[in-house]
Amino acid sequence: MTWLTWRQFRMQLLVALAALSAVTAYLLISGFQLHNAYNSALAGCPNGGCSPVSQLTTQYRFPYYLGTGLVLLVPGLIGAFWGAPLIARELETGTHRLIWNQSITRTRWLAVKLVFIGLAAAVTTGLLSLLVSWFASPLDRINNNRFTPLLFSARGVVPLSYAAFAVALGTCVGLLIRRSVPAMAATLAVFAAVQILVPLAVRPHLESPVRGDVALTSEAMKSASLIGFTNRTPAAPFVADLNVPGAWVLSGAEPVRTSSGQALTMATQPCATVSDAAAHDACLANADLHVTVSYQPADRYWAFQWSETAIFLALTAGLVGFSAWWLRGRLA
Amino acid sequence: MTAIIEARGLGKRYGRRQALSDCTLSVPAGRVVGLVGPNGAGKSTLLQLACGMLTPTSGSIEVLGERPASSTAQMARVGFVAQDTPTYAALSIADHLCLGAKLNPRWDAALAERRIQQLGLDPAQRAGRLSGGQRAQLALTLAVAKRPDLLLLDEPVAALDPLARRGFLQSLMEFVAETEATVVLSSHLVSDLERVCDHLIVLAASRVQAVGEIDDLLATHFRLTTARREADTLPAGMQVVQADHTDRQSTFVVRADTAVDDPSWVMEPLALEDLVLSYMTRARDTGADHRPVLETQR
Amino acid sequence: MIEFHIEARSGVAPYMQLVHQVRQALRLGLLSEGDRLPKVKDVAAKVAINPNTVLKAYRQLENEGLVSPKPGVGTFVTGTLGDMPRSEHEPLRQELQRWLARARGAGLDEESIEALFLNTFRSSTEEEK
Repeated sequence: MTWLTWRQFRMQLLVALAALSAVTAYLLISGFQLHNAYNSALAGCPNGGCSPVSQLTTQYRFPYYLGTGLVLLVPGLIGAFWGAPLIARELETGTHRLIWNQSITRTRWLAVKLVFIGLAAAVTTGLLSLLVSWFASPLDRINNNRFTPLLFSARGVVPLSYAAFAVALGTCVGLLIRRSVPAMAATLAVFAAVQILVPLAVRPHLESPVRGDVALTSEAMKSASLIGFTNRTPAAPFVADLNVPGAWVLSGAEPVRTSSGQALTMATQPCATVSDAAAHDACLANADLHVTVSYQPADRYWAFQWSETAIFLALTAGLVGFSAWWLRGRLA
Repeated sequence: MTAIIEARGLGKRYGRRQALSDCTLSVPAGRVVGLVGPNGAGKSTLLQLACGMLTPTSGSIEVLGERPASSTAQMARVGFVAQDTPTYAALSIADHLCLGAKLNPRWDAALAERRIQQLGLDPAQRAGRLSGGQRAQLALTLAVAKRPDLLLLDEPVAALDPLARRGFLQSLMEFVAETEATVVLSSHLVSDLERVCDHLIVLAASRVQAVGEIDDLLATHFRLTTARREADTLPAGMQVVQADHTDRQSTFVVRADTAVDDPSWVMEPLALEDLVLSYMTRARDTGADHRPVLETQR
Repeated sequence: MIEFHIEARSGVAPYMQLVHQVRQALRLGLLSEGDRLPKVKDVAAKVAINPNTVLKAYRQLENEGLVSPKPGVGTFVTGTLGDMPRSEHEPLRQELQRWLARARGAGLDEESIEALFLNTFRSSTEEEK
């Protein structure tokens, strides 16, 4: 059965390997350049915060986004191109009636196929994820944002569980729809929906977020996504959306408060008279202002990685179980 | 006589559609059984129930003394050639044989290779590029090289041209002669079945209409032509399968142990095709009527 | 060795067709004592008929004393169907002619005579079985 699975699957596997090798070659080459550039830039900048270091993020933007994008995309593609046709193709061409009449149970047939494809998917995604993580590590260190939703999904161990889930999902959808192409489309759609839904609705609640005060220092202001007033009237609230290094900030724009907790407006902000931008920022940084943010702290990163991996593996197991049950009893 | 297939009150329902109902029959060992009936009569359903592709919704079926597909050992003893004889288009003939060898404990590699050679097929050829007849032969090879005790074939020759059909039946009969396996073959070509089968099951309107040895069926069915009379005026011992009346004449297809000579009628033997057709017509006309199933046994 | 064929539309049972063909071959001298009949498997494969049909035909021939099986070797012709001499046909033919004349005299037309003959012939062969 392993032989047959390999024989049926080797074409797809070779295509994937070819694509993966091309990406690998490209990322390896630009990766070595990036690592060298990063090391030499660091050497010339012992105290950090130098522009040659931060310039690397723009310089290597293309391979960075390509790699990250691929890690996000590949599990879905695997689900659609490997998972969905796995059974649908057999049902479509009627070959299930050939293979189920050999001396092998359907459960075993499914198990071998799934283990084989599942392993191939995990290895492919794992290698790609490792490669991209290695490539992007200097930039990730500079940005310090691996907990943000997109990067979280593209680093660490979660991509492997996505791949496993995608294979199981594709298989299951193929089993229900019984035709390859519609099954592929449906798999992509469902997988994309899950990938959007989980960071929005599930991941933030894996652990209750920490609410805490973040001082409006000049560093915090530099990395803030937003800082200013909601409109141009004197009563407009003074708000900021701050980033916490390495953490995942869940709250959006929050009011800026004084040390006594009073929310500021355009009229009451302490540095309204300073017109020069740099002096204005320095004035704010010295005014002992605070913003309350809710966030998932950086040290929860791996706990979150493992929790989400566990969730996806559980979903995978559920889908596999359902497929096996459906295959045994409901289908002919 | 050991029964290879034993069905009791067997039924299969797809949603609201009853594909097979109340099917009770037993297929004796060592026979070539023809399963004949109109399209949608439940032939495929019955065969798929027998090989375990389907599970019954009512009643029970035992094949070789066990529930179909209940164990791999049981599966190894049942060969099935599905309708349209599916094969893996991308795999070569040699790949198919390799597949069979790896998945079947009783695989007879020599037989498989000899058959492919006899058929003049190139083992390196992809199954997708074979003609319909060649593909059917490949599917048959896969099924017979399993060395099954029971071989089930679902309309294997329906899509084949006459030459390929003859070739297929020749191969099948050679297999039967070699192994003495039991074969159940569905078809709506009665002439083919008459040639290769010795036992017949007539299935129509999702029910078994008649079952028995072909010789017995032929010996006990007659066409009776007479002046117009009602079926119930015929002597006891004659079961009317079909009755046709004009204003003067009545024609009956009857089942009786022997021909009865009577100057008032002509009673002649019936060709198998006519026999089958009369049961099919009866099933169509009576619809869901629960007539007793005729069993001829001697 | 002889070759069999089956005529699907003849209305004669396949096994009887085989029996007829062997008898015919004996009559024509294509088969003679000591010849082997084709193996059941070969006939089944060649003609595409049920091996049981072939077996049944061979058994029938055996009952008629024309062939006998040697286990593991094959089925061999042991009898002859040397037709009786033409001269011995003649009295039978004359008898039949007289009978036909009587039947016509009784008012039977051609078809009734034929039906009567065939029915009687059939039932008498069945009784002999």
